[in-house]
Amino acid sequence: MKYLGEIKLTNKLSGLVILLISILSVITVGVNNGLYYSEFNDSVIVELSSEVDNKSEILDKIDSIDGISRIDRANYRIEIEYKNIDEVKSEVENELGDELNKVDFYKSVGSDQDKVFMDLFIILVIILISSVLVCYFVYFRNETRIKDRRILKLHILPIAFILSSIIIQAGIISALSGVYQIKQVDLYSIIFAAFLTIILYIWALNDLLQDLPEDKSEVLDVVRAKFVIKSKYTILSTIVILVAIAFGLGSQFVLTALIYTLALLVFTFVSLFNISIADRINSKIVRKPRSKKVTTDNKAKAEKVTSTKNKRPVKKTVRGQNRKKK
Amino acid sequence: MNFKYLKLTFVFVSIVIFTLLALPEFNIKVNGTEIDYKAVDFGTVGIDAKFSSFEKSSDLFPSTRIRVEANFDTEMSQEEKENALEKMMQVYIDRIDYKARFDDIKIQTLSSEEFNGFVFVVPERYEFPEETVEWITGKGEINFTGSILNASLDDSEITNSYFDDEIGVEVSQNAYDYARFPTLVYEFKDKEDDIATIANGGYAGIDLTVDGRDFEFVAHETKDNAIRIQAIFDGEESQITNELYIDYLKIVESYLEDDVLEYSVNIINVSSEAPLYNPEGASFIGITFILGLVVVAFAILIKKGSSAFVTYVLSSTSLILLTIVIAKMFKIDLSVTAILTFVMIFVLTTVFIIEAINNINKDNINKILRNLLNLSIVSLFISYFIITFLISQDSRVASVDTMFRTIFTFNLATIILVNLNLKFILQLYTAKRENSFLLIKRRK
Repeated sequence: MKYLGEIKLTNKLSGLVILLISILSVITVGVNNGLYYSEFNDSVIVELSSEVDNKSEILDKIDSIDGISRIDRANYRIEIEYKNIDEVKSEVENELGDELNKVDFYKSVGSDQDKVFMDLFIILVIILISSVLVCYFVYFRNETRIKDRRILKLHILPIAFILSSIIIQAGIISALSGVYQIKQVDLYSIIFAAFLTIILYIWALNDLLQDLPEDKSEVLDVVRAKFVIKSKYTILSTIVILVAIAFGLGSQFVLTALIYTLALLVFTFVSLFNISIADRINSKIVRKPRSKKVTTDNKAKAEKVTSTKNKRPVKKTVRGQNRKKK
Repeated sequence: MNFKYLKLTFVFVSIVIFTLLALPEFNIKVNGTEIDYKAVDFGTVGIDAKFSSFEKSSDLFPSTRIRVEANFDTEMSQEEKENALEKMMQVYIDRIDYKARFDDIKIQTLSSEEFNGFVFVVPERYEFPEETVEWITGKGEINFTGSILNASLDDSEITNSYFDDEIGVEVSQNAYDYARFPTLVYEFKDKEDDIATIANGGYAGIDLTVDGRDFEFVAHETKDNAIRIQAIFDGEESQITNELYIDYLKIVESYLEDDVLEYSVNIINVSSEAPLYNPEGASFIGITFILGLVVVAFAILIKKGSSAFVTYVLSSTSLILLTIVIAKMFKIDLSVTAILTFVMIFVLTTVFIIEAINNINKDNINKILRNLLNLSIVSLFISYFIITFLISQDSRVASVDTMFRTIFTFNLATIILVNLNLKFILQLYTAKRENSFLLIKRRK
């Protein structure tokens, strides 16, 4: 059993949870064709004429028509996606009647989605490559400390947790796009959370070198413990500040703050789950005796080596015991 | 030799300097005396940055909304009009994105049976929003003729043209104008003799108009067979600043990238656009942020004592102030993205500082500072790479640009302070803690 704060999760369950949520996320993204309501889509803008007096009242009358993706009360404007001007006009006419001349209708062309997604992709690739390189240099720069690179793929781990977090966060954003118009700033929550998580992970890895356990199977346990300590304060403080920012910026920022909060939580928890899974894989490899190809010529020698190995007392280590002793 | 007081003086003096540079312009009255704090300007020493206020983004501050109508032929169908608008939009975006100078101007196509045109949302930082929009939407007609005694220069003979923002190189009798503003440079192949004639004072007149605006000849360069020209601004526009002039020339330079536009536009309405988020938000966030810092500081005071409290306050203050100073230098917009990014990195760095405060051991503190330095250097390089090689190529992503500029700024401030203020403050703190520890031991 692995401890994740107050939540107890087995490694197998961690893997299943990530897999299940990832599949759900992919399905959500597929169903919504990426993002349902977003500023990248073409829309019809219904805007109140500048000379109208009772703007708020008129806006209240038309704010319930179908397909509204954004209501801008400060500028007396609503945006409707997936409808043409004529459809919107007839619906607004139903609501306003004679007052139809108080509003103007425009077709608005959305911003270029491909460019933004391409930039997002390139930036995330850069962050991933740099994190792998930094992790490699941080952890494996000292050859004398860790030699068995086969089992400790600590520098590859960020790829696993960042990729799975991106899929899940994309699913969350896509799901929210069904009720809220996604803006560019919302998409950057992925970069925001990825950057923060990677730095916390590298920091935890760096600290590991100062407190390196003798037993290799405990390495990931220590990384996880350090990562949890650092994330706990950083993520919680950031979330508290996000809530404060949401209070300051008003209702328009509430869902953005929620997306950022979810991004931070998703990236942190998925990272922890991934470390747990890696720990499980590593433990299995460490426990498994290494098979050596024995030829006829050196069979006797090999047998001697095996018998010498067998004579060694087997030290059974319970993970986490060393730390408890400390 | 004890450098304790020297370090302490350095920390306090640097905080005072950072505060003066970070403060916005303000005007207050105390007992009838008016205090007017002006921006600190390093223009005289060649640093082009005014340390007054942040540049204000359109998501937090009101902007100017300019609606322009396209002058289409009356016999065009609505579909044809929409296709033409799409083409015009692409050209405008190219111009806005050109050299990534105007990427914070938002543009939207509006089309209906009654109206076909665009809306430009221009942030507050633009002193001449209407003029800027006029330049962006200009047809881009450049007519060039030059008379050199018995010869002429024709625009078909231009082999290279570029914008040179270097100012102050005196090469001709028109040195005043040339020194005042940057220039557009036109190079002519196989025109050595003509340029040489100009050099000998033999030019009769060079007539260049861009969408009707006259440009004047200011200098020649025989080495590259080039002439330098500058735009003439009359009336109110003659008050134009150097920065705005550069903006204009960059737009004119972008005209060379696309074909001349078929249709012109007219500004039909200028109004104020309310920001996306609550306009009072920035002040609220600022106050909340300071309150948050105070709460953390008091928590440290209660748990760790007064020296840890002073260490935290001095470290955080130095970091925040220097980041603000550098952010102003790099002209980062005060936007939601900038605030979010700042918060993220600041919280992360605060955790580093608190960890350093928790470690009384001098070696541990050095290790923590080294870790902070290494991470900052890596982040600085990543952000620099993204700003330089990705965002400048495609500037439709102003928010990402702001995000990585903020990361760059904060990391730069951290790298500077890790070697100065943070190092000195933590050294003083360690010395103080070790002394008090020895004192307790001796008393026992």
